[in-house]
Amino acid sequence: MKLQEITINNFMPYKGEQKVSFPQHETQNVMLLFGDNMRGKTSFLNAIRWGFYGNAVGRHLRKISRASLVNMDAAAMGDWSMSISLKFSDSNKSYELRRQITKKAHVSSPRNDSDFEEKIGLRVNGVVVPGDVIVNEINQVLPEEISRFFLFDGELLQEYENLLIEGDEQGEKIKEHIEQVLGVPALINGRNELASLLKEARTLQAKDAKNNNELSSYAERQRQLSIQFDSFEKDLKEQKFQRDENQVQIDIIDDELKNTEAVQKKKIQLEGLKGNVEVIERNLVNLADQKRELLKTAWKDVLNTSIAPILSNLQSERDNLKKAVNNAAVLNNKIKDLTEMLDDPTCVTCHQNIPENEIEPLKEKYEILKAQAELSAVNMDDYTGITEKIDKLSRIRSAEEGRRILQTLTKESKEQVELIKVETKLEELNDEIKEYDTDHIMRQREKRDRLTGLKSRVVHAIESIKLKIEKNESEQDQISTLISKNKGAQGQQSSIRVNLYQELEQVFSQGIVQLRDSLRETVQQHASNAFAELTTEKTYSGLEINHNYGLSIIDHENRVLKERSAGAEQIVALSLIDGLNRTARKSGPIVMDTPLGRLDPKHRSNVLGYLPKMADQVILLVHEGEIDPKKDLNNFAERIGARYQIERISATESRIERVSDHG
Amino acid sequence: QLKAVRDKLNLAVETDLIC
Repeated sequence: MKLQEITINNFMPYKGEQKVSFPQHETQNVMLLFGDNMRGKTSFLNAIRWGFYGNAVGRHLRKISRASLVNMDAAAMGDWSMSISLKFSDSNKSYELRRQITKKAHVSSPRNDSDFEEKIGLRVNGVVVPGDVIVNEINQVLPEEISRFFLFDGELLQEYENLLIEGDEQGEKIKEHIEQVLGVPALINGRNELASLLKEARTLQAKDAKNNNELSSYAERQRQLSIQFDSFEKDLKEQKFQRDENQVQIDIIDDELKNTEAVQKKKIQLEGLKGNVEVIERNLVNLADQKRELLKTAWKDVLNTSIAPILSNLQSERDNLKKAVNNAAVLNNKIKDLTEMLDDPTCVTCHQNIPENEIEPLKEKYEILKAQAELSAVNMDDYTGITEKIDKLSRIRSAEEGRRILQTLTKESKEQVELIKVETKLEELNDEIKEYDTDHIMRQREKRDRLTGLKSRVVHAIESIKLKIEKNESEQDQISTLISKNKGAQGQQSSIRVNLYQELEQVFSQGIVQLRDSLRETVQQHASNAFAELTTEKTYSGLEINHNYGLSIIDHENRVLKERSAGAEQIVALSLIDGLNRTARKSGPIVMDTPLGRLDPKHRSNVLGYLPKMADQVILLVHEGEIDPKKDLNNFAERIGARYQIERISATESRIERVSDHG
Repeated sequence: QLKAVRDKLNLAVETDLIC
């Protein structure tokens, strides 16, 4: 299948009519659509998807409502119509598909999907196709169930990792889609319908056998088994219904919990902030205790400034007293010497008599010294008193309580500012989540756990019933064979019918097992070939497939690589898609949004080299951070058939312009 | 890599019929 042209009218940011032609050349088969983020690359992918299937999906594959699909500016001007026309070819047939929605006449401002009317038209080779078979016609070309392998968002490729997780719901869904692209459902549907026809045939055979004396006991047993089988089938149906109901409820809760994920994050943040408040409040209590302790002796620090000069004065006074005592001692010694000299006038040094004329001055000196000694006499009680005062004042010296109190007060005010900040944030968060009932969220989580437990029990019951059905069918088979071998029944129409259905059912049943095995082998081979070209680690020996079609990387010593990077996951997912497309019964163009987002330059270069080989047409929706128009395009310029650029007109309007034509 | 299964099991059902 090849896309030829798309005409977009009022779809998301694309206001008015815009046409894009796809490259038809065999080797120049790549179309590049450049656009910055938020300009409309994903909308272009959605335009193709919506044109084919009437649905568009956002992130997390959520369906986008019809009202959101109509260009906002056009809607603001009262034009609530939107359409996509696609021209494409498949197996020498040309198709023209047009899908349109318009606001219903009585609705003024549409909100719900039901406020719109959808029209769809299809021509094949110019002939109009009746409305009731259009969907089947489209599905003959590119079935919606397998479109995920042709129209996809490169950012979501990591979902294929789920195939490696045993029992993963998402993985199961992907596996189902993989088998659809590989054509397994044709055999599964065939097997199921043949089993149903076989049951009908056995009933007819038992009716015939009832009239035969030799076979009536077999017929009776067959009848009983048939009743038992119906009962098992009924039980199985009920249990499956129960399982699906559980799953629906789990999905609803999961959706709700996803929506409240942001609230949950805020709630966790809230709990964290509450913890912060507790810590701050504890710190404040500790600081208050410290402050109280310091204040007990802080009076010392307050007195310290007054005491210091007094103490200093007392100390210098005591020093002066000490000096005076020393001076008095020196004077007394001198007086003592003079007294001795005057009593016995001989020189104390040379022991000669002192002349009479020198005695008079000595007497004068004696009088002077005596007068000085009297003047500088020290009262020792004063000295003791001062020393006692100094001792007392020294005992009330501080340990810098004032400075420490100041530090504590600074810390305290910082903590109080922090507390105000945290409490303000707490208030904001509380306001944001008050419309959500957080208790309800917790209850929903508990309910989900209960439902999961219940589902697991139901799945167990289903397995048990399936075993009983298998046993019952086996016995019915044996009885049918015994009846068929009876001479009276041989050649009877009912026995011939049973034999045919038995054999056909056997062929289809075993065919499913055989087909799955060989498909896995083929997909693994193709995917490994692709991986060898895409990976930059050339020592890896390839990929290994599991029963879910999940792929593991095998290293040079044949060991499974346990951890792989986001880039490696993307390379493996691309290899799987390539393997599936090469094995698949239907092939289509690959339209890929943001294909290179998680890749390093070397892997990017490998992928760009390989992508043109992945399909007859490859349409890449990229931004210039992924493919540098100046550098990267040289590597595969010969494969580019068309290049477009999304131009910003306004925040709500974009236009697609053709940049250059290589095709 | 249905007809092969039929051959392997040596069944009488015609390949034309093998629906």
